[in-house]
Amino acid sequence: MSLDPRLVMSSVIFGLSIGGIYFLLAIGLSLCFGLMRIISLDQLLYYSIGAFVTYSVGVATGQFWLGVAAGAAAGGLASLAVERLIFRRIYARDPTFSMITSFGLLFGGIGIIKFVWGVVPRPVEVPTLAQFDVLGTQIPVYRLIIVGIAVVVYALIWAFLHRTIVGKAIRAAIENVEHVEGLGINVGRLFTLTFVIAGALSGLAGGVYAPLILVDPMMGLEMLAFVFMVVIIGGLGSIKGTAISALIIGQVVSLGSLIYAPAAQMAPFVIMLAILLIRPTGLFGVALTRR
Amino acid sequence: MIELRQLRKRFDHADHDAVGPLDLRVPPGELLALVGTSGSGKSTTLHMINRLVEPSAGSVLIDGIDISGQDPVALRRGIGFVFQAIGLFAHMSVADNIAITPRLLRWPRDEVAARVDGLLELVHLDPAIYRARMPHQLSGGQRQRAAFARALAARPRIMLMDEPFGALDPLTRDELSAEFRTIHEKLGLTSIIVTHDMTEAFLLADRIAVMRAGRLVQIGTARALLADPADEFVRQMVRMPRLRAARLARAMGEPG
Repeated sequence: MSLDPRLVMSSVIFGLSIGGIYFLLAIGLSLCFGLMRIISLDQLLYYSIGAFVTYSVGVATGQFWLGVAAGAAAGGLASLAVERLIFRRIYARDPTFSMITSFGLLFGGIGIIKFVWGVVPRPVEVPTLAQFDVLGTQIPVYRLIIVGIAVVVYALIWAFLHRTIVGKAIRAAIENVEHVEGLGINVGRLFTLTFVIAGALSGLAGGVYAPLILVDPMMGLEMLAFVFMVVIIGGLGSIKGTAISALIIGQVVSLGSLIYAPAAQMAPFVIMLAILLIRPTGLFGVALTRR
Repeated sequence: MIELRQLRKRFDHADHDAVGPLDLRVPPGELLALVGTSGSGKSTTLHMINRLVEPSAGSVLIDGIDISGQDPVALRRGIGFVFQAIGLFAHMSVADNIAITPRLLRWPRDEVAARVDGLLELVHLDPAIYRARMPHQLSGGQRQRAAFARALAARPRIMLMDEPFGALDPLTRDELSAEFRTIHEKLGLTSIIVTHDMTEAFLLADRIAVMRAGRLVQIGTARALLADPADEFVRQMVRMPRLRAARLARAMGEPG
């Protein structure tokens, strides 16, 4: 089979940008598991909220980036409320309990979104239609902006976890939460902060991705399987693993549909199974056990 | 002063109490050893004093105040805790490990630095050499010294130690436990050390509390326990160091 190199190039860029979105969504899930041992599927809700708020603020003000910022803030606020009201009470329980709770939250939240915004999918205008030329292929600049945002977020999260004392405490708590608690460190506050960062990044992902899709209440569910795979392949609790895994799945989805479209939906699952057979904890993760 | 009153713990799905009912008073300045076989509830008892484990019934009082009404985070800050598995954070330098609580409490930077150096000197690790070291670059004994320093960072008045010397070789173990005794006195701490090693308890502690099946069997000085053991279990426990010494003497005395 021969492939047009121009198609491959644009497909690779597409894969990078979708990988960037996967990363923004998966990093929160991954950190939440690493630190609190919860499976927070409700991140997909903050993703939808981020997209809808981006849409509404964009329509009201004509400012796309203002909308994205508002979307990320809305994701963070929604996650703060959920953490305070719900997750705080179930940290001590088995991870499956949080998974079911968060699944319920996701569906309940979709209901609220439908109530507020209705069921009609909403288009969000792409902030820039500029394109640039790579080896004779026209690449939309906006796709590269998405990749750039993911790279910046990666760098910021890395710096936060490695260079600040709060970030170091979060990593210490991922290592052993009891030891951190025993030192008189307020672990509850670390949990809240991590959860809110996760929610804000999910909101950011929704806002940034909105111009490339139609914003509709079910958009989180469409993303769910892919994000879950990214987290599992990367290994729960690892940022590096999540980034690498997001890159892989992005390319598999994108190149897969170029090579043989029907396989594109299946391929990520096959890869996930293969990796889990070799490394049950994912590429870089901690074991999925209860503390 | 640490006081346990009718303290009990039953874990979820268990059919008997892991601890209690337990009554115990540790006066200020005392170093108490909590001794017992594995599963006797000594570790759980220790964890209830800083609320890492919540009791099922009864109460813990520190300086006369029931800790169940206190903010657990503030409570733990006043209590140094040394874990069985040494538990230095692997990705942080020794200085960061020691400074983590003061820094999160936003102590001024120079005060934190001075505290770290002071604590390293206290535990006999040269600050110039060890400040920047990572845990994997330390020996077991050095790691435990750093863990002591970390537990002391927020200026606690109470130290709780869960088998702190368990993972160390015998030489380091003796050296460190003697040093801890000095630190305990120098800082005027009230300390509880959990151990299953009666020799260690004899050498280190003011009084020894013997636990079995979650209950306190006897408490007293080494001399009192030896002179008047409450039952056969205590008798066997307190005889152990002497029996071993005697066996050792025999082994040494035998012609090789």
